[in-house]
Amino acid sequence: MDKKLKQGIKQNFIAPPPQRKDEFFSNLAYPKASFCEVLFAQIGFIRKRVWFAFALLLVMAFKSVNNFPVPEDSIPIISAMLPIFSLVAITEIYKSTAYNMAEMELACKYNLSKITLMRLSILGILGIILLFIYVLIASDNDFGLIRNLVYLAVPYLLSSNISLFVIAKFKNKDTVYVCCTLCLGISAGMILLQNTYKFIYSVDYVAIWSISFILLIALLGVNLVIFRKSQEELPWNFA
Amino acid sequence: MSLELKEQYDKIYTFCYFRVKNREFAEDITQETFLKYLSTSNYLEKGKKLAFLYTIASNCCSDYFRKTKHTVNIDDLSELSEELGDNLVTTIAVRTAISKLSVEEQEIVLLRYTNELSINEIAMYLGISRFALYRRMGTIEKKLKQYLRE
Repeated sequence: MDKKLKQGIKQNFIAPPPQRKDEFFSNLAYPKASFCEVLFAQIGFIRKRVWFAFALLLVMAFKSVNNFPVPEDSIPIISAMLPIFSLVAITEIYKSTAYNMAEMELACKYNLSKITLMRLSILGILGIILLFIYVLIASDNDFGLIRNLVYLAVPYLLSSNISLFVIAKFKNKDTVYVCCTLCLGISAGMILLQNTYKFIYSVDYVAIWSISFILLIALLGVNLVIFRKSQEELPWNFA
Repeated sequence: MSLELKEQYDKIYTFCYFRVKNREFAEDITQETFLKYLSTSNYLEKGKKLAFLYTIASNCCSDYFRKTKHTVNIDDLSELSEELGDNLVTTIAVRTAISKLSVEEQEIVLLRYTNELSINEIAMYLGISRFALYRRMGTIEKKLKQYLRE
């Protein structure tokens, strides 16, 4: 069809301008996804490497338990694995900041801080699941469930706290390497404890471990608030 | 949502206007179409969005014809002839030629050349294959050229 005819056809179908368009759109209630739908959708956005790390750390924990003739010796090794999961989780959260995912926020009724907190919650739950599985795996020793939980949770909480604090305070793409160094440092420290300072797992030090556990949980709450506030500072976070 | 609603509003309005020939009713039907479209949220994520939107609009127009006595607003028509402007002679010739087409053929012309829907979307809306649509468009073009020559 030639251009002139197409133009003529276009001219033929000119309707008088609509008069209530703006009014209609200002009052229109768009269908919105519920909180649960958004939360479950976030699971799909978590990279495969996180799930892979989760599975790998589980397998490694099972393996390490079987390798130690004295069950108590496996605790520092297993506890050294949790900061690695913490590191993987932090890199997952950090990608929102690193890649300036403004388009995600623009397309969504939730702002970036809510989205990252949702993802952080999912990863936190995943970390807690991993922690409890580790506690169960390592429960074949004389420490008892509570002591096992405290011994395993402290390095995990410590690495989570430090990583959250670092990504909240320093906003550049290299921050993740700082987190990486710190988490791996904590892991290495735990392995060192197993070799050199095994005595800190004795009954005399239980009080220090327990106090550290409680303090780190409280500190985690503080760091989450700092992290959330730091997300609100982003220039494109209007909501 | 991926459809640009404000842009589609104008197109659906044009589609409805040329069905009912009354601005007020066309706008009412357009708004009803969007409310119905948005209320079926399950469809929004996976459906053939545009075809679905036009099907709702078409059904709403049919409802309008069933329920009300069809009236043409004279003011709307006079406003239209003002908008035709310089190309009045050409436009009148094309309009006369288009008016000789069947209603369904006129609708295809509107969807393809005014609302700029893709062949796929029009075929989905009409419930026919792309090849059938190509054949029909070929026939329409021949008819239009013939009417314009007369």
